[in-house]
Amino acid sequence: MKGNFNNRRRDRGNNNSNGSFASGNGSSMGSDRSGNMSVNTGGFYETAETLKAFGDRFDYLLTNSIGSEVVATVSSAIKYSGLLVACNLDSTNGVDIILKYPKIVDSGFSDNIDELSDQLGETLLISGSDVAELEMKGVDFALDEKWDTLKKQELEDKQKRDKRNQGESANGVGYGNNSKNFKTDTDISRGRGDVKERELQKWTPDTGDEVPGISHQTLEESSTSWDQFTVNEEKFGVKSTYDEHLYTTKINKDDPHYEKRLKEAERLAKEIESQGTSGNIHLAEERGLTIDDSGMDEEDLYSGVDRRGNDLLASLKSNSKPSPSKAAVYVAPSLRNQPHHTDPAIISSTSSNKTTDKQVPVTKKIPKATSKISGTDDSLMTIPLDKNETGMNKENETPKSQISIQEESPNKHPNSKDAQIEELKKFAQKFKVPYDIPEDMQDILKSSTLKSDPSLPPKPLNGSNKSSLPPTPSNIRVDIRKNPGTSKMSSQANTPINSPSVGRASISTKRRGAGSFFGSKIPSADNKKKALFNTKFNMFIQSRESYDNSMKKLKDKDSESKSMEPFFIEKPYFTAPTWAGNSEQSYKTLFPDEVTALQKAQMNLQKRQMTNMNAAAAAAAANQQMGLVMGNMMRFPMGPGASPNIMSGMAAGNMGMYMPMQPQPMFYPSMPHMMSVMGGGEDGGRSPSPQTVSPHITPTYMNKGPTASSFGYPGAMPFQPMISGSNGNYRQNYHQGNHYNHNNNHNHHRNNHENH
Amino acid sequence: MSDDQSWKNELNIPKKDTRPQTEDVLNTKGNSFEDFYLKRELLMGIFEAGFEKPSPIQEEAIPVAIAGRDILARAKNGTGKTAAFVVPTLEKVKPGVNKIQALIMVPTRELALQTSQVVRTLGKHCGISCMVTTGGTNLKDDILRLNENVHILVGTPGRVLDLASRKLADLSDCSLFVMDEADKMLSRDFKTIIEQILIFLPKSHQSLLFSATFPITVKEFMVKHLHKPYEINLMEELTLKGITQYYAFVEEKQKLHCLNTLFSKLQINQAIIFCNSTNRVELLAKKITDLGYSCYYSHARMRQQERNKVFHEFRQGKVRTLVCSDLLTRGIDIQAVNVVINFDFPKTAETYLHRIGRSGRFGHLGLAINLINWNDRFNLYKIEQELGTEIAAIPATIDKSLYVAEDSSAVPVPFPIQQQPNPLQQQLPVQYQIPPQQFPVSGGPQQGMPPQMQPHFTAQPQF
Repeated sequence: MKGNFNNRRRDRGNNNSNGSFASGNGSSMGSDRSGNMSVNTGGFYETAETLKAFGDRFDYLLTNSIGSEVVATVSSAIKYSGLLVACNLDSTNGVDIILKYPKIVDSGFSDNIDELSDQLGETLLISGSDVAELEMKGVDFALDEKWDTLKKQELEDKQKRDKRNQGESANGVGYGNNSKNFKTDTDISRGRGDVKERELQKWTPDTGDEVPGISHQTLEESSTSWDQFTVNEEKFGVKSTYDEHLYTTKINKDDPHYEKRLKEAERLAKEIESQGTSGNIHLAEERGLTIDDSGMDEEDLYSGVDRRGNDLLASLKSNSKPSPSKAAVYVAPSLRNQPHHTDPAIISSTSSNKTTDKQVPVTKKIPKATSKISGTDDSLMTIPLDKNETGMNKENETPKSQISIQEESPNKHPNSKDAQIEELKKFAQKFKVPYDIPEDMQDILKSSTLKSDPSLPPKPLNGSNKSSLPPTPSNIRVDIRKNPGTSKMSSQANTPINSPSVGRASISTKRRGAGSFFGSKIPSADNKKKALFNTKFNMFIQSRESYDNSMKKLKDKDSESKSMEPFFIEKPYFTAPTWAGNSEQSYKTLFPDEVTALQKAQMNLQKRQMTNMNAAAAAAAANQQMGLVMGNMMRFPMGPGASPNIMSGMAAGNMGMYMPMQPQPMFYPSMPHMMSVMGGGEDGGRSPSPQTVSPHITPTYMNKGPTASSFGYPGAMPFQPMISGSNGNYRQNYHQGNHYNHNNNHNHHRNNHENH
Repeated sequence: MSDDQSWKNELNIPKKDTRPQTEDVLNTKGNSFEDFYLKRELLMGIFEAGFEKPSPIQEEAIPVAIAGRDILARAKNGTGKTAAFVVPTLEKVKPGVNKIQALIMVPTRELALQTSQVVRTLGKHCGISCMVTTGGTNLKDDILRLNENVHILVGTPGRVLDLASRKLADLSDCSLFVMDEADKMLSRDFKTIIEQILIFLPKSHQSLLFSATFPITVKEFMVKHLHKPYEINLMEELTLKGITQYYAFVEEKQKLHCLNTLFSKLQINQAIIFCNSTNRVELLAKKITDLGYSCYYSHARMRQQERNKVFHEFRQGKVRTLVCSDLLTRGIDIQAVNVVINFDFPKTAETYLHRIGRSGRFGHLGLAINLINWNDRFNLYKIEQELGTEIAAIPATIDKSLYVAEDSSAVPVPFPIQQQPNPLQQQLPVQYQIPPQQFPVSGGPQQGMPPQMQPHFTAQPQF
């Protein structure tokens, strides 16, 4: 803004007379001030609003240029320059101006500059009708804000001084009203810029107050579970007096309709609790569902504010970039006894006493490599390593079996070893990702080629029969994630096969406790790897298993709630965003900043969908793993070739399906569009069971915008009971842009959602 | 007001809290609650809760809120924000209309309980029923409760959305929408839920947004959902004046030792200790009981019943120490807490600010001690920079006048439960101090009371 209005001519536009403005002094502009008062009908016509805007801008300009040097040309073509001290906006005849210290810069047609100059006094008043042109140079429009802040600061300083003087007098001025702009925390603290490092002063324990049992001991060195209520009652006599009616209203159990109401309430409660949550962690928590708070600790959940911006950017960032702040991972209760913290504070302590028992070197190397996946940060590097070692002490079985694999394989293919390494070396040299690699990815690729170091055992996965084949990217990926189960980090980086994008899949660091995916059993690798893949990496089988387990448990517990145990299908992995094709662009050009990212993403999304859909259909037809990488918007591809047993099991199981989804970015295309894509993909896949989708209600509340309804709440629409027919199969509204109902042939007729 | 002031004489005004206060709460225009022309019943509730004068935020917010404007307000931790929105809420709600007329949203369940308790305490003469609904409790019970009269609904977003979307909670006449800890409520995960809840409110509702921190701008929400919000900003610095902050730079394995030293050296009324993981919360609490101090713990992985129990007992002063995760970082108001210890250092500045804001409530004095290890130091620098303060190293002795009340008997239990119109035992005699028999730690050394702590308690047996 500053000073770019060098030649602001005021004779722009011939407008109506003052009458066209609502307010009297709004007239300031509008009329042609150079004396031409006639309404120029031939000139352009603007609405009153526009005119007012013109006027306002002109006023603003004039106000801001007061005190600055201006050049005024009068009708006799003499140009005067001087300090603008005042102008009369109310004049009906142009703008009267007063110049201080006027000078003649151009005498126009008259030659006698000196004569004219002599006549000039200290101030010069030019009547509005004489002003032909007014030129203002270097008007500083930022002045306003500067003044504001200056004044504010002055005021605040003054207040502070006053307060100091008055001490705690109650007459302090309420300064709430002068805050024009809402201040964020940083505004208030007026952050000092760079983070300042300084020497910290070590705390030294007093000599002699050592308490046996606690000195030089960390928390984790003494893990026993305990009941706080009994201990506190026994030791200190603390008894509880809690009564919920102290906080909330009472249920009227004497109501004549109580029984009826109770039943109705139970029914509704069940319905609500079995509803999908679209992956919103807080909603899931409130419904009492097990939370997969991958990467969220309680600070993230209840206290901290996510600073990653809007939904889209946040999801992109969390997928593509390892964020050190997300290092703390919650581990399912079943795994709680293991030291699971990635909080450096905790790690350093837990590892200190355990690093001594060295593991087989083979396993030590692998975590090192995998740790690179998680980030290039040096401080992070050591974490998975430590964790791994301590973790191994606890679960001996898994790592041992894994070691055995790795030790076996060299014996199996001793001849191919060197050839393989050569191959890999060559490949590493030649291999180029067809687009710019982000910096963090380069490290990953490097780390994967690290494996070709002869000192390391060869890859078990590259059999001799394969060694003649040119290595494919998937080999590399396999290397990276060779060690599932031992290290949480590596298992997080895993994707089941068919990941379309190698590098990205491996940098996906959406943290996920192993327990949240595998249930209570952590798979141990054995030679039947393929079989393992088919079971353990099949999210449906896994979900079924864990569901059965929980049903069993529930049966043991009580009979009341067993019918409504929700069925979870968790997406077992997370993928980095994929973008269309092998374009030569880096992701930075695709997502350069917030605004363009949104626009571009919108365009790319449709392409992406097509690609993914097709991939899904094709892969599913080939009876591959169920878990397909579907980009961000559709990660629940129920391939037509998928095991029908599971499907019927789900349908017969009397349960709602739970599909964790991410909060949806705003721009996902409407359902009908996707629908057609789906249909097409299916046909290509020769589907025995048509994939069913429910497009019907969608258009109605699609209009409200996805965020407004992304949990399946159709705005103000009345609740529709979703119970279909006799099988009591609860069907939820999953059609929010990326939710699909998958039904079998045999029950989709009964479903109250029309299928097609 | 009226000339008849006799009602004032019949009030049960609690013992005056004599602790010194900072200008965080004293810097007012000098209004009194009566200047707001509140209804008599509400004034009675306010005075009986021990309120004397409105705090700055209350002074700013109450009249504007009663006038019906939308409000976006920030004021420091523990300067009376809750009452600043509860008072206008109670003033506006009509007890005769059997509908939900106000919705108060908070991020955590404990905070919902506490807020509801404030509503019930201040509004105990108003004939207004206030219901809490949060996750973790029996949904069926909440549905049944909604069959009865409910005027004010306090809850966490997920459960409220579930109830509202099924029309179980009828929000069609709910013309007042309040968000406490608004910055958290408008952060990503909550925001989507909040926006859906807003669909069920009448178009022309009034919104009141309050928080102590606004690390990100709430502009988007403001533009979309607030109508000409009246902005109140009572902060020219972020940290509370009454809180003295120290760090102790220790090795990880020294932390327990250091904590024990703190316990023995400090005069702790009640202390909250924050850890960064649920596991560590449990382990540390165990250690502290082993050291001979009564101690409860709380985190989000516990059953809600247990969480409520812990929260309730700690508020009532039954235990000396509470170890918790960030679940209880925001909003929790326990007047007797004078020491907050960050056993683990937090990641974000607002978490730090809210954590240390658990002490020094309502302008009183308090102490915040951060145990920093080698890896935390950058976080410490970062947070110091963001807050514009420098935290000093812990001195060998800490001046008692910085955090210890001279007369701790006057420290109120935030909103004494016994004052409540108790549904079970009507009209208990009003008690503002915890009776000694309820404070078992004062029972004597045989119960494991460490000698260092004892003088403090025996000197003031009533607390």
